[in-house]
This record gives sequence, C-alpha cells and structure tokens, in this order.
Amino acid sequence: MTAVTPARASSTPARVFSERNQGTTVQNLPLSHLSIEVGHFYMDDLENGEEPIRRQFERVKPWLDAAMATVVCGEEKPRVSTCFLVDDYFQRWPDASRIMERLLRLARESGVEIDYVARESSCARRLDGFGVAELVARRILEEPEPEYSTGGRPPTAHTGWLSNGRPPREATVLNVMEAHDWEAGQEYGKRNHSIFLDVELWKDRAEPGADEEEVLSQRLYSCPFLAAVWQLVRLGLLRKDGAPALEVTDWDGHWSDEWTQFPDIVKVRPQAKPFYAYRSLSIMPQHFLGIEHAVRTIIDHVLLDQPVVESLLLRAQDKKIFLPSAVADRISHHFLEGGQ
Amino acid sequence: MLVFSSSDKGGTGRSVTSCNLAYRLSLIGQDVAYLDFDFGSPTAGAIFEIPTLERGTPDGGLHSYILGKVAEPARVDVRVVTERTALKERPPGSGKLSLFPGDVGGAEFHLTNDHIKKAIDLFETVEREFDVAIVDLSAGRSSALDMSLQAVSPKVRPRKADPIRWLLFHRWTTQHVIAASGLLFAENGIVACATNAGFDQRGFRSMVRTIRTAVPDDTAFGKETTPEQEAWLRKSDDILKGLAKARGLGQDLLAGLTPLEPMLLWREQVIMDVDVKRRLAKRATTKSFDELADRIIHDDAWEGF
Amino acid sequence: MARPAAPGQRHENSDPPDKHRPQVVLGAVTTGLLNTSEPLPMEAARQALALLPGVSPDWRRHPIEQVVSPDLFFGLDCKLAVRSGAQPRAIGTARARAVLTAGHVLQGSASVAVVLDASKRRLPWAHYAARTGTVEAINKADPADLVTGFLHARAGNTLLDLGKTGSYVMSLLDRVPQVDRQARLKTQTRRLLWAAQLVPGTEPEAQVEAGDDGVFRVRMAIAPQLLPTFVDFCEVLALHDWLLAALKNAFDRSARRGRRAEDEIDPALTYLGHIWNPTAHLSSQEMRSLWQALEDEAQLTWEWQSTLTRVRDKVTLLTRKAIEETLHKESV
Ligand SMILES: Nc1ncnc2c1ncn2[C@@H]1O[C@H](COP(=O)(O)OP(=O)(O)OP(=O)(O)O)[C@@H](O)[C@H]1O
Ligand SMILES: [Mg+2]
Repeated sequence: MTAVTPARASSTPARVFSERNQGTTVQNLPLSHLSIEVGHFYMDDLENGEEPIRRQFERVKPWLDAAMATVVCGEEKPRVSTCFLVDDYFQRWPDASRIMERLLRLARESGVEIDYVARESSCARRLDGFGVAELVARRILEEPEPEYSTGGRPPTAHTGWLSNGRPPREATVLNVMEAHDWEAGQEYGKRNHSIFLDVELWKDRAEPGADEEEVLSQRLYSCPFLAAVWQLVRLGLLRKDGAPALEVTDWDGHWSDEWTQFPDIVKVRPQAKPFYAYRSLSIMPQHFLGIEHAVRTIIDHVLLDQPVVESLLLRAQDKKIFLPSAVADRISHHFLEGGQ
Repeated sequence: MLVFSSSDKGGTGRSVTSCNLAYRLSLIGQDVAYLDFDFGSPTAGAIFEIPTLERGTPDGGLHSYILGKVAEPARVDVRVVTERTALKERPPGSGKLSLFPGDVGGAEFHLTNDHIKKAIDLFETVEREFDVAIVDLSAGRSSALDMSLQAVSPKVRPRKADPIRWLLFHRWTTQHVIAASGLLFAENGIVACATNAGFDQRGFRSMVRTIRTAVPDDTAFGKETTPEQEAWLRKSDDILKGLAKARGLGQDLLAGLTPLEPMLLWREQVIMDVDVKRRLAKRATTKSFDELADRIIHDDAWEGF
Repeated sequence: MARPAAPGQRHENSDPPDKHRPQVVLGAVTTGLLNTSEPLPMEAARQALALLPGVSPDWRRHPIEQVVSPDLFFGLDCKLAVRSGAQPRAIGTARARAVLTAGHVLQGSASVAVVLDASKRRLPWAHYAARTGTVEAINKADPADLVTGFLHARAGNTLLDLGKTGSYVMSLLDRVPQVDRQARLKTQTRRLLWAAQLVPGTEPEAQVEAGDDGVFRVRMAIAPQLLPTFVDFCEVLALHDWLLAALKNAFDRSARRGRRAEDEIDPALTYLGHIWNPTAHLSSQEMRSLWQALEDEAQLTWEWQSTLTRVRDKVTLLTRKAIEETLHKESV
C-alpha cells in the first residue's frame, strides 16, 4: 500500500495552457416568471361551433386574473406570458387558418389574450424533422426496484410504459421451478397506501426487427407524454445543443391552411413577455386531471441535463426568485369544474 | 474462437472432456475461457475443483447475465481459486484459464430476442480477451443451444470474426450414435436450427465435428482377453462404424475420441500429466485430449468437408 | 399583486439548503479497449460518445485526444457495505460517463455521492430525480467505515456495485455504428475503485492500494471543491494501470508456444505505445503533486518504460534474426 500526502504546492504557478471544449454550451433564455396555458380543446371541440369555445375562455378568465396575482417574482416586476397548445397530433382538421382566427378572436372577446400558440405535433417532431420527444424518451429513468437496484443490473429496455412502482403480479410459473403467488401492486414512493400508476408513453407500430429510425418514425406518442414534453419546453428545461428544443417564431400576419406548415411556437402578440418561464400553470377542464397525473409521473422520471438545470437555478438565485428543485413542483394546474 | 460443446444425452462426458480440453488448450499457450451454459446443472466448478462454485455461483453467473439481471457475469481465474494444488501452477508459455460459472439454481428459460442480444455481447466480450472460449451447452435441445446458434449466425456475426467450432459428444454405443445423429440431423435438430438462424447448411456442417467419448478397448474385458472377445470387439466396433457412417457421423466428421479412463469413472476432474506420471491415469487419455486441443486450434482439421 | 416568494416558503432562493451534504463519494472506473480495429478519429469519436440526444460530448485534442460523454444516470436502491453494524440502505441515482482516450482506450466511470441519515423511508421519486448523482441513506453510518466497506466488500446481489455500472456504459459503445467490432489486440478489462471522504478545508490525503485481485483501490480525504479533479486523477490512474497491464499481457502472449511474437507485439506497440502521459490531463496542482507522490513510491512510469524497452528489444532481436536468416538463405 502506498500512502501519499502531496507536498503542499506552496506557489501554484499560473497555468499557461488549457483546453476543454465543451460539447454543448447552455444558452441563457429570456424568462417570464410564469407561463399560463389558457385552456385546452380537442381538435373536434374546435370545430363544434363557437359557444363551447367562448364558454371555456370565459371560465378561464377569472382564474387567469387570479394567477397573475400569485406570480413569484423576487424583486423584479412580474412577467407573465400566456400560451395555447393546439391539439393537431391525433386529429387534424383541414382549415387551419379559419380555426386559428376564430380561436384567437373568441379568446380576445372573452378577455383572454393569447401570447403564444404551439402545436402538439411539434412536441413529437419539429417542423425541421428533429425528434423532440426523443429528448425526453431517452432521459426517462425507471424507478429502481427497492433493495435490489445495485447499479449492477442493466436498465430494462423501454417498453413504452412507465410506472411509479411494481405492478400486481399474477400467480404464474416463470421459469421451470420458479413460481410465485399473486402480489398486490405497489407504489415505491408510497406513504402508507399505494396509488400504483402505469402510464403508456407510446405505441410502436413498426414491424418487429425494424431499424431504430423506422421505429421512431412510426411511433405514436401518448397524449400525456407529449404534454410532459410541452411542460418541459415551457420551463426552458428541454434543450437541443443548449438552445430550446422548440423555438419561438414571430407571427408573419397570416395563418397557413396546413397545420404542418405552422412554426413550432408562434408569438402572436408582439408585446408579449418571454415564452419560457420559471414556472408554469395550466388552466384546463376537469377531465384532463387523469392526463395531468400521468404527466407528473412522467416528469418525475425524466433526468434532465445538469448544466441546464443549474443554469436556471443560478438565474433564479441571482434574481432572488424561489425555484423548487423538483421540476414537477414548478408546475401547477387549475381544473375548471366539470359538467358544463 | 468459439467452441460449442453439445450432446444429445446427459452423462456423455461432454463437460469433463470440455474442461480437460480447456486446460490442455491453456497449456499450449491459448488464453481460454470456459462458459458454463448448462444452466440446469453447471458442473465446471466441481470439475476444476473450486469449492465455492461446486454447483454454480450465487452471485450473478451466466444465467443471470443472459436474463438481464447483472450487467456483467461472474468470472474466476481457475488457477487462483482451484483447490487442486497442481492445477494452480501456470507453466511458462501457457495461457490464462478462466471460468464463467453458471448460477446455482438456474433453469431452462423461454428464449427471447433480448437473451440473444445478451449472448452476442457476451461472446464478443469474451473473444476480445481470450483466444478460445468453450461453451458447454446442456444435453439435448435447449434454449441455450438455440440462443447460441442465433448469436453466432452469419446474420449477426461480423464476417471477419474468428472461426466457430461445433462439437457433438457421444458415447461409442449403438443408442448413443443413433441419438447423436438425431440431435444433429433430425427435424428441429441442430442443423435445421442453424439453417433457421441464418447459416447456410453446408457452411454450418463444415463447423461440426464429433467426439466419441469413453471408448473402451479390449482391456475392458479384464487382464486376459480371449481371442473370441477380441474378435467380437473388432466386429462390434466395425458395426458401430458402419452405423455411424450411415447416420452421417462417419470418419470425415470425427474430431477424435477419448479412451475409457478409469479415473474419470470415479471422479469428474482434470487429468493432468502428473496423474500419468504417478501412473494413475492412462497416457492415452492425456494424449487424446492433447490431440483434440491441437485439432481445435488448427484450421486444416476443419477444412474440406 | 405579485409576491416575492411562493406561499408558505421561506425567503430563500432554492429549496431549504440540504441540511445534509454528502460526506462520502464512491466511484469505480472500468477500463478496456474500444472494440475497433483502428483508433477512432476525433470526429467519429465525438459521434460515438454522443450517448444522449441533444447534447454533445466534451473533448480535447492536446496532448492526447480525449472525448467525454454526457452524464448518464442509473437508479439505485441497495445496501452500502460497512464493516460493523447494520448496512445502510441508500436510494437515488448513480452518475456515469464514458471517456475515450486516444480514440482507443475506453473507460466507464461511475460515481455516487452519499448523504447519510437523510430520511426515515424511501421518498417519492421526484425527490431523488432532482438530486442526480446522489444517494440518500436511510440510516446512519460512519463515513470512514463506508469508505472501507465500499472498497473491500465482496460483491453481493444487494450491495452497491458501481463497477458493473461502468461496464454497462462501456458496453453501450459496442453497438454504435462507428465501432467495427474487430479489435486487433487481446486485452482484459480492468477496474479501479475509489472512495473519497469530503472534509471541508482539508489537505488532500490519499492511499493507493494495488490488490492481488488486480484492482486498484484509492481512498482519499479531500475538500469538496477538489472532488472533480480527484475523479480525473482516478480515471488517469485507471487508464495507466490498464495500459501497463495491456502491454505486459501482449509481451506475455508473444512468448507463448506456437505463436508469432510479432502478431502480439506489433499491435500493442502501434496502438498503445504512444499513450502514456499521466499528467497530461491532470489540471489541478493538487492532483499533479499527488501523482508525483505516487510515482515516487510506485514508479509506474519507470515500470512502463522498462516494459516498453523489453518489448522493443524483443522486436530488435526478432528483426535481426529475420535478417540473418535471409542472409543465410541467400548465401546457401
Ligand atoms: N473418457 C472417459 N472415461 C470414463 N469416464 C468418463 C470419461 N469421460 C467422462 N467420463 C465420466 O462420465 C460421466 C459423465 O460425464 P460428464 O458429467 O462430463 O457428462 P455430461 O455429458 O456433461 O453430462 P450432463 O449432460 O449431465 O452435463 C462422469 O462421471 C465422467 O467422469
Ligand atoms: Mg455436464
């Protein structure tokens, strides 16, 4: 054995040469204090006449005002931006420009100003073809099984499902002479009782054995998965080469008739505060509760790039703004009452 | 180089001969890995006289690795952990001898693509360190056998990779010859399985050689052999040869044979030169292992089918 | 009206600062040869080590090319080895990265910071996901005991095993298109274990032990801010330990029966001969002096030089023999 105590470097000579090329430099983004999502519709809701749309915006309005008053902004003047996500991934109606104009008008008439419009399809794949959802998919870490996760076990291949624990087990025979009885499901982080949740992240539609590119191009992401991408984008946490994974484009004054021609995020109001924000709030109808529970589960299992996380924490600290370390704690919801 | 040891019946001497081969190969300067793929009853630990591995390892052996339970399988340097003093010695000019044990309580499993991927990775990793890896498969058709064929099929193995040898062990009796031929050629046999996995039939058959184990000679009758016994033996041997040939296991496919070794009747072990020197083992036994080892590493024995 | 802080939160800028900071950091470095016939050129290496989409690996060219993958994380919930008393249970994530030096020598480097006595039960996963590279132990333990326990524990299927995490990260590189899976040199993967006790304001103090199992073990007391340079130190030591072992292995193999010595020696000289340079990437003065102190006793560089000399002498002799044989044939 060798025991060594380095001689005290009495005078540390200044270094002449240094080289460490950072593969990725994290951009500092302009940030609002709060990003508010002002309602959500399925595509067919947008086609079913003006009244339901107007009614939702009218119900959003008072909560929007209330939210403005809760902004956590340290010593700065509050900056809030609003946004709206168009559900064009699962269903796509043709006359995009008409739908957009009507939507923005109805919102405005209800006193809800929409600053930014984004498309759900972009959360899967950008206009330029880059797979945004993959950024999240590849950063998902399954929750370790209690007691046996030693780091010596290779991570399980993703099946397109993510859970917060262990599913119930049927009584079966696994291998020869290796049988077990029925066992209840279990939430690993439970307090007393479990709420076991198993979330479908995507469906793979490619033939088995297809190459990775083929698999990805045919993959159908689930609604909660894309919503999780959307939340991470709004929080400025999802990056490609240090830049936001989805970037904002100024509106050029007219809407294309094709959803696929829309920029990923469009800035509708020139005077809007920054799109990305320290925190996010989503105001939406009650029936999205289940989806948002799934969103939270997904976000809890995404391990984000440390430099990005740190850059935001440092910024917040600098501006004396409290920022929770758990990402899901930066996200809040208001669910509009149901039955309307 | 990957060497697979297969047999139709249990108790043919597949494991004992393979362990002896591994040892002999290391003596002639090869770095050798022994992979115990007999998941149901891994015996290599016992043959190499490693007390902690008599029935496999409790800490993540090959079975666990294939099932994705450990990122890396357990392994030992046989010379370091064996209890047999003579075996501990590494003569100058000889190579490494490592054992990748199976798991205590392993069993057959239902084969999936993930298992095959693990096997591919395993073989590649082992071949990057060792000259020869001997893979002891369980008797008969098994998931391990199927998995191995898929993992070395031309579909997945780089074309310039080291050669593959497929050994088929059988005893030198009527029933064993018939059984071995069945395992190789019958429907769902090794050749069919290999063709399914992507080998071309001729190409695969040129990798296969048989080893006849524990072949008795006339001394088996006792000290004094009668001329009748000698004649009978010669005749029986000829009949067996005819049968083997008719069943496709003729001379052209023969890698070699091991004589009946009394020491091995009592104890599964490595037969060392000291055993011969002490006049415990037959010289013919070690000689046959040496010849087999030599044949395995020289390509000319495997050319011209 | 906007408010400076969230309701119910103290006026602080982040979560209540962890009452517990990590007292111990444990790590393992696994080193082996990348499975390629030729070293990867810088561009290919950077593509190969881009193990996560959206971020590129770090890299440097001088004096030896090196590429470092982004960090990957692995979930942990297992026991930590201790010599006495109950084994604490630790939950969280390990951090691991791949390091490729000279386009050819690949390392999987895994580590985890341990916060002792952090909670009484496993918390919801969000808590751990926000503290990447850290495990929180449910029970108390003596940091020095943990260090010894980690370095000397026998593997078991409930004990932390970072060496395998490193191996797994290395195995990710077997499947990238830049790697042709045709290595020309037989080598063995080697492992180094390290454990650091974090003591603010302390002078670094280290013990390096070469075990009979071929594993180097490094134990250190160090100020927290020096930790990253200490990890570099361990990776450098692991790299050079491996180089030495690989060269010796090639030399050993060149003397085997029935083998052409050139077949072993040529690739070893071609691919490994130029890489030795321990202080190349040791940027901190502390770690350079630490290396110097290690050299004074263990003399790894001398060992490398003398092994290299033996190998080269052998080549010279073989060449002379070959020339003499040709001359002899011609004169006959
Ligand atoms: N040449 C030989 N002479 C005499 N006995 C032998 C010879 N070779 C092997 N044996 C003995 O035959 C028996 C079976 O050998 P072994 O365990 O190697 O067979 P196996 O084919 O691996 O069986 P299993 O399928 O059960 O694994 C052992 O007791 C062994 O010592
Ligand atoms: Mg056997």
